[in-house]
Amino acid sequence: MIRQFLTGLPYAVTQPMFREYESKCSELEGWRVHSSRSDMAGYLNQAGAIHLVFALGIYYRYVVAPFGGSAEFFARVRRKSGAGLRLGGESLDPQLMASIGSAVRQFEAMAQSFGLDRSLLSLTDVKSIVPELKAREEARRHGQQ
Amino acid sequence: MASSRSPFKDNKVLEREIRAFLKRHQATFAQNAKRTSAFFELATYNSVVKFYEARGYAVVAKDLKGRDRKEFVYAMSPLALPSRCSYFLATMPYKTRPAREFEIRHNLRVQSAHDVSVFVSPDYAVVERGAVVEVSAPHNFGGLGAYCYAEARNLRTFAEAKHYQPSAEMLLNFVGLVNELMPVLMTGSIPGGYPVHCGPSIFISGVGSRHVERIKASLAQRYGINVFLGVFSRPNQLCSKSNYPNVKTVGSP
Repeated sequence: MIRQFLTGLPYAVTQPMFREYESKCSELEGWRVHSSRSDMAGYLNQAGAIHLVFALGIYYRYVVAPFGGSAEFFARVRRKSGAGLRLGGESLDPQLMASIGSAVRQFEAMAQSFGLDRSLLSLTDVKSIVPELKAREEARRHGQQ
Repeated sequence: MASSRSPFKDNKVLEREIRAFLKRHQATFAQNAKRTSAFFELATYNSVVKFYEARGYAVVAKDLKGRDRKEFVYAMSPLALPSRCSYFLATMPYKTRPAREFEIRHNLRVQSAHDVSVFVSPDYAVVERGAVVEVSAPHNFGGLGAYCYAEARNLRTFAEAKHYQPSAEMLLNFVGLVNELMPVLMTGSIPGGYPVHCGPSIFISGVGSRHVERIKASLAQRYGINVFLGVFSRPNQLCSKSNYPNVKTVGSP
């Protein structure tokens, strides 16, 4: 699942993303095989869905979130002084920064519509992510009843 | 509020929406991905500036460059001359005494408080207005180039940004910087005058384990420094009012 997120990104960015994804997937598999908790089994067996959340979280932390923060900084400079931004010798195009801001908002809205907010996407520990997903899934089911 | 869609039940829909999102926006991200670390630094600089605004300072961008002075220049290296970079000026106005002014700089070289021949460049430094000095140092291009720095006595606070997973070693390395630049904090005597600044802070993108959380609490208690973890999920930890009680501050002499 992670591969489609990596398309077009430079190796320096994709390598740690890929390694983290692989390590999380194998940790999840180890947990699934050795877990004696019956309440978790139903979730641990849905590895495909959890892998997707891992990939989404990794993409958010490595790519989307830094872009979002920079778009906010750009907007601050523009609001306060009407100025543009020159970063390490290169001018950042206002249209580019606007499209980055819009892409970040769309990503967050899409993830949020599946109950995956910033706080969940920022979690890095498998033993925190899966119980959090379980808790949210159960809250969603109770909310629907 | 719980969402109506689930990553488990609606897994295929989520996958489809991700594909559509990537088709629309991946090119934008891919073309600029080499700047990811720089963008993270910008985001953190933004947090520091927001802290000063939230605490009642008037903050304005200074030294804008380019045609019509319409560009804020953010340097990516401490080798850049401060005179060629922009910065924010934070002013605390008072009714009965002169206003206090501080420069919120990035990648500024700061002289060690222990040894005048040692310099370090924290990612962000808040110094007294006009504190940046320019000399010709023999070790810098044989004394031909300008060498700029601020003396440690003019440093009010500083911060570092790390786009990594936090570790015990990373946090403890930061204490080394505190010792070099603001050793008074190591003795537990935190300056208490007004106006206030955030304590020396390290912003880390990763969330961290319970062990890291314990180290964070211990360092805050011992030295009055801030460790902000998971800054993407909680970008306003430094400036949000609800988090004021958890933010360590230092005063101005």
